[in-house]
Amino acid sequence: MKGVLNNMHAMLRGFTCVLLAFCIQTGLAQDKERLRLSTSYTKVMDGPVYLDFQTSARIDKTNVTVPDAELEIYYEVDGEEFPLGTTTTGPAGKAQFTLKGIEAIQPDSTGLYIVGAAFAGNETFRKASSSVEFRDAVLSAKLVQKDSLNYIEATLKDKVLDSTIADALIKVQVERMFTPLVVSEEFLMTDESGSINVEIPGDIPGKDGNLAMEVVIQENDDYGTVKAQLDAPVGTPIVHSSTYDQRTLWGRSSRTPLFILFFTGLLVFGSWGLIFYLLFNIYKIAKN
Amino acid sequence: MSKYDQFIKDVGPQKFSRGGMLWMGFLILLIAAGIVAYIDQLIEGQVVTNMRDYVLWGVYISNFVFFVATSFVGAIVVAVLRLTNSEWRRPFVRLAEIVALACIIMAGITIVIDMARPDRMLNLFIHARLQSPITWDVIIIPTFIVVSLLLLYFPLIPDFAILRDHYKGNNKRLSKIYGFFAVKWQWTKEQLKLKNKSVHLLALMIIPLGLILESIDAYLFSTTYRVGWDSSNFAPYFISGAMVAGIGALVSVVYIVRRNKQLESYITEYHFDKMGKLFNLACIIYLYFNINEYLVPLFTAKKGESEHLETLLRGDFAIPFWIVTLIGLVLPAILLIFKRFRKPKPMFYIAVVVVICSWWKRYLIVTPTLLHPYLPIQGVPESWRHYFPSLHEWVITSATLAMALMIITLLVRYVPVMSIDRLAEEEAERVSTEKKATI
Repeated sequence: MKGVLNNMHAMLRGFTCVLLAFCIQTGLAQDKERLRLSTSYTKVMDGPVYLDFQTSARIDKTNVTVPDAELEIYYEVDGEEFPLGTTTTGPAGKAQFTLKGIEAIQPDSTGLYIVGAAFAGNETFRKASSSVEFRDAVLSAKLVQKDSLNYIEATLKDKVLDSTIADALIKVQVERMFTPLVVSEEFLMTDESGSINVEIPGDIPGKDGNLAMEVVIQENDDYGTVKAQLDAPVGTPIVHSSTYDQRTLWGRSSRTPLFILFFTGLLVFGSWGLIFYLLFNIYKIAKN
Repeated sequence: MSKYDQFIKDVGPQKFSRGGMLWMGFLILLIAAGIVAYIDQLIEGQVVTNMRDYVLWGVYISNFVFFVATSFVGAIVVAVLRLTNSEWRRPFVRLAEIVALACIIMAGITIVIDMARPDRMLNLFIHARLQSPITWDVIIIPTFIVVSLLLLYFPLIPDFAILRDHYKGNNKRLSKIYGFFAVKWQWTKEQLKLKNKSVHLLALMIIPLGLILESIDAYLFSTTYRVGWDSSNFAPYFISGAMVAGIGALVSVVYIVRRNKQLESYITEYHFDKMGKLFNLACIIYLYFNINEYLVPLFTAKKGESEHLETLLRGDFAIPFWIVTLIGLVLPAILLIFKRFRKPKPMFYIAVVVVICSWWKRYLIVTPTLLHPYLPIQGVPESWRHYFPSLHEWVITSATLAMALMIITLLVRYVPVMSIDRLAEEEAERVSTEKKATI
């Protein structure tokens, strides 16, 4: 009997140890989440260079954005990192870092730029980093007129190699409030001389007829996103048809239609004039 | 004994009987409860009502529309019948003026009750947009109150003078008060001329003003893009409805006053019969506009309007709608065709039913439309999808009705319900005619 009890006691101890080990292991397995970080590069000709970052994570089998992640931006030359600054992701997990120009960073000896961002990690997420490599491209665009038709002519060149870039996917678009209006054909490529020629339709509305045109190579494997912007006074002027300053039924009080002013005035002054006349009659009755 | 004494005894001021005191006590109780509820509404805000984002005009606005409609009776009985020389109107005139004045005063007060922030009422004038029917309403209601008051007051001046002289010996205080309102009236030619000219002018004024008042009341609804309101038929529909409500209220008041003051020899079955015919005509005209308002859209209504009509004809509001239409309008229109129903007592019962149904009719005009917005009702508590007045709303609304009845009761108590001056004139004419006939 005593032996049986000893065995049971030993089994109980063994079971407790296994349970404890399981709990410790489970507790340690509460690992930090993996942060996904992506980097993209956009260059605006004669303008700033934007580095865009997007953070996300997969939590409980759902993709979520990660706000408030502090990122250290750097550029890399021959394996050595040079800090550029820091930025923090917003509510949508996005952050943008602006360089005044491409001159703010250095390429390697082959003309290749490497720019990246590093996340140091926090209580929830492990550390993460991401970088993008690109070459500096020059996109020049101009407005030309032939036979009363307007065209955008653009040429794409590799700056370091000083050579034109052929077969690059490119598009010509007009800046609009929400999404740009693309005026070029769907898969337009630069020709052997790195050039394109796109006609601008004459019926696109613009303020005073001005169109904010953009020529864009988007997320190119070698050159990233490069934009050339130019104003083209070739659109149809927008005619502003607001009735704000007109006398309308829906206008503000200082823009009451005249017929309403007239009839209301007639009603008010007419009826109250007669009322005062009647009150005066009471006075006259009393005086008589 | 003066030639006026018998008339003063019959139609002049009379002290409240025991029943009258109880009636006044009942009204004071309702008004006191309403004041308490209104103070609570002012402190707590309109959350104490059941008006929410969708039904933002509830029983208060229904009540307001009812008061405006009933006040139209002054324009019909006093002005239209005067200008058409309908002599049978005479026993009704003073009471019609009293009912009209009481109702239009209460319409003005009800609008203020509906305001969540009455302290901002001045903004209605400072920031008025003359394109808005609400501004027109703000203009027309005070105007109509003043004109109704003058229309009651001018014909009363000789009566006040009679009462001033009557009480000179036995009640100096009353004599002084009536003397103040009599403005030194001495029946001089000039005074009579001024009074008659003023009454005639007021009779001319009150008709367009009454029509404008009712039309503006209708425009408050019909100038909005709301199903059930967006109707060019609305102004005449409201005017005809006002005739029905106004005459119904007048007949009810006249019957009670006639019975309490025992005025059967002054307000005879002949007068009731004539008024009954006018009442009948009003009901038939209103029925015609109801057909235009509800039947014609059945052929052309788009989805939103169909749903609204469905709610009225077969849905949530079907029972009150059919009661109001059949019992409150169709049945009176049929019954009043027959002479036996134009006798005082049957007509009184018909009038009371018509007045109650007229009140509910306004509720059915205001509320169901607000429960049918063009955008679907979503993301709100379930209770917001329905509307039934809260206890605060009922108590306050009852108090406004009690106030109207109190104004009528007090005026009937202190003011002759028929023109004593005119009755004396008619009596003198009758005696003179009889003398001539004897000679």
